[in-house]
Amino acid sequence: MNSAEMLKGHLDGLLLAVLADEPRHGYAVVEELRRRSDGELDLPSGTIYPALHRLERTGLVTSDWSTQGGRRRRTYRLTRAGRGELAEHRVGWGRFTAVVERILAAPS
Amino acid sequence: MTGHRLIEGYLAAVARRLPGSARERRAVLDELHDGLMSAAARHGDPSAIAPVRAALQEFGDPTVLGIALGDELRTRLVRRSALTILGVLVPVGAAWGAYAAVAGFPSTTVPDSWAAPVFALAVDSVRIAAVIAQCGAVLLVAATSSRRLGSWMRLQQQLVRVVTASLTVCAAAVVVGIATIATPHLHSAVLAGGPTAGLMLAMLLAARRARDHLSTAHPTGHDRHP
Repeated sequence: MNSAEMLKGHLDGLLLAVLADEPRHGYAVVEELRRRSDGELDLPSGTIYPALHRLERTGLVTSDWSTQGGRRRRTYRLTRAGRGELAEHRVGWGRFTAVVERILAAPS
Repeated sequence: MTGHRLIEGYLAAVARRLPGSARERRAVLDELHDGLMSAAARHGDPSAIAPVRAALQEFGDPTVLGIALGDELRTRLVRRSALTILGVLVPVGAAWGAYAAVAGFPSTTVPDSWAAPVFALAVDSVRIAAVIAQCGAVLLVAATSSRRLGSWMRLQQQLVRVVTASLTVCAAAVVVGIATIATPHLHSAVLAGGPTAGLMLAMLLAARRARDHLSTAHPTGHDRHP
C-alpha cells in the first residue's frame, strides 16, 4: 500500500497539523508536508487545494489574500474550531495506532 | 511555447470545470497560478519550460483537479443560495408571526360565498409551504457545511427540489390569496403583494441558481453508490 492510500481519511488532520504553527499558502502546505515526512509524503499538489477549500467551507480554516511578487496569494490559518478538530484527531489517531500496534505486534 | 503559456493552458483546462461567476473562478485560478509558480520556482527558473512542466506534473491532471475544485465551489454556491432564501424567509416569517400575534388578522379579510374555503386554503398553503421551504433551506445549509455530506450532490439536489417546489406553491398561494381576499381589503393586499412578489422572485431565483449549479455537478462516489 502506498502512502497516498494509507492517508485516506487522515489528509484533513495532516493539513490542520501543518497549519497549526503558522498560516501558510497552498504550496507552502505541500512543501511542509514533504519536509515533515522527509519526502515520504509526496502527494499530488492538486489534491491539497480542494482539501483546503473543504476545510475552509466547514469552518476549520480561514483564508486571507495578499500580493506577493505581483501574484495574488491565498494564505490559510486555523480557526478555533480547526484547533479543536486537530486535538480530537490527535487523540483518535493515538488510540488507533495503539490498537493497531497491539494487534500487529508479534505474539508474546 | 513558454512556461507561461503552459500554465495558462493548464489553468484554462481547470477553469472549464468551474461553476460560478468570473470573479469566483478567478479566485480559484489565481490561487492555483500562485501554487504553480511556486512549484516551478522549486524546480528552477519559473519562466522556463522544464520547471513548469515539472510543476504541472506535480499538480496532476487539470480535469481531475478542476472537477474537485468545481465540486467545492459548487457546494459553496449552493449554500449561499440557501442562506439567501433563509435571509428572506426567516425575517418575513417572523414579521408575519409577530403581526398575527399582536394585531391578529381581521376576520373581514375572509371573503363570502365560494371564495372563503379557497382563501383559507391559500393562507394555510402559504404558511405550510413557507415552513417546508425554511426547513429545506436549513437542511441544505447543514448539508453544504458538512465535511461528509458536502460531496453528496444527490442529497443537495433533492433538497433544492423540495425548496423550489415549496416556494412555488407559496408564491401561487399568495396570488390565490390576493385574488380571493374580501373586496374591502383588496387594495391593501395588492399593495403588500408588490414587495411580496419581489421577495418571492428573489428566493425562486436563488433556488434556480442552486439547481443550475448542481445540474453541472460531476457524480461523486456517494452519488453513484447511494
